[in-house]
Amino acid sequence: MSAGLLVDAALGLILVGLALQVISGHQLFRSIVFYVAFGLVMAMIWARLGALDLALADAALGAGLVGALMMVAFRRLVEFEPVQTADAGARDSTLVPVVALLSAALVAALGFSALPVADIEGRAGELALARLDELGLGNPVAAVVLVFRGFDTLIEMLVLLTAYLGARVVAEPRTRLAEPVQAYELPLVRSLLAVIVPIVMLVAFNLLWIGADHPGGAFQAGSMLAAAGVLLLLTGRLLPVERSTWLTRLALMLGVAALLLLVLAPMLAGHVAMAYAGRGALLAAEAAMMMSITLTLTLLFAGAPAVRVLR
Amino acid sequence: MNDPLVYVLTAAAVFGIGVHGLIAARHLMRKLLAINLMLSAVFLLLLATSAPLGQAPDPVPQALVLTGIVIGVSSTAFALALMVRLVRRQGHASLGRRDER
Repeated sequence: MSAGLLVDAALGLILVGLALQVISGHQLFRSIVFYVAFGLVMAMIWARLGALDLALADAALGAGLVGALMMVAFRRLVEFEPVQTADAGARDSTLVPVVALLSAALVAALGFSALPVADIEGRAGELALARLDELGLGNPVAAVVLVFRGFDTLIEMLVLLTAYLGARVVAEPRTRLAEPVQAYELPLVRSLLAVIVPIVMLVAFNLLWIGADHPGGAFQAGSMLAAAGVLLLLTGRLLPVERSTWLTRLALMLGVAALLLLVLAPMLAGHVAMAYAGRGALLAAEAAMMMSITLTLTLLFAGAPAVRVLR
Repeated sequence: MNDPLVYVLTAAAVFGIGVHGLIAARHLMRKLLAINLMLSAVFLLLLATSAPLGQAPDPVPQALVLTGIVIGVSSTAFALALMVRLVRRQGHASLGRRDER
């Protein structure tokens, strides 16, 4: 048994153990914390599999921002009714474990049947790799996301925007906005922010800049910046406000608009839709996407139509 | 390169745990966490069963999973907003009536 296999097995076991912790126990908050840990181990597994784009995205989005959104929703529930934190009186049907086992067996069977498919010739991934040099991009994942499957990414941005709008529509008109914690003038907060926020911005802009050639890109960069936004909201440097401005709305739509332009512009010039528009155009579209993603995720956390900077 | 079998089995176990959580949990947020576990299991299966091309995994499933992660975050955020609204309206965070809990 090689050392690599041992690491894989250990990571797999830890992931299964954390998943068990997420669904067991009586405290909901504990489950959320274990879910964040699950996301981080998931990111390590992506790194083990060599999928660094996914490791970055899952650490920032799957573990970080979903965890933050869960916690802020938990807090809104606790504010409303403090006893709602445990799910008491489990009287599960005996069929539940059977259904779960059968589902697991189904997934395992699907996995086993998919394993031999590995040898098929002429896969889409091979085609993408073969045409990578034509595009002059170093990161095959970025090429697939932005060029070969650009329509997916356009719809993805639309889904993100729709989810935000949906969350705004169902939100109570006068929900108590997340008040900044009283401790936000603790002596260490200012110096902590002075260190962390610039580093986060540096890493995010770097991820955006190198995204065409190395793991990184708009989604990873946007979720990192949104993490900084969450930090600033928690420490009261950004305040949720009730009225959105035209600038906020414009920034929310910028990502979709940039991708639409990327689709339509080549068509107007007589090419097929999503024809490769060049490196500069891709970077500009990604920068616009990053801005929209950052703002959407930050506003989802704030639970407000806009934020303003503390004066 | 690592053995995909380990991660196929991991994905199967996590998916089963997610199904169990989804059905057995009373609290809606716990059901949401379980759905997110199932989501991760599907992503892991997709990537573990796609054969590597050169040094890295096949870029197409990677891009699909990347899209999937963002869609998952979007739907989770929307579902959380729905849940908060539901709790405020009906007074408890489970499906069905309060006395059934």
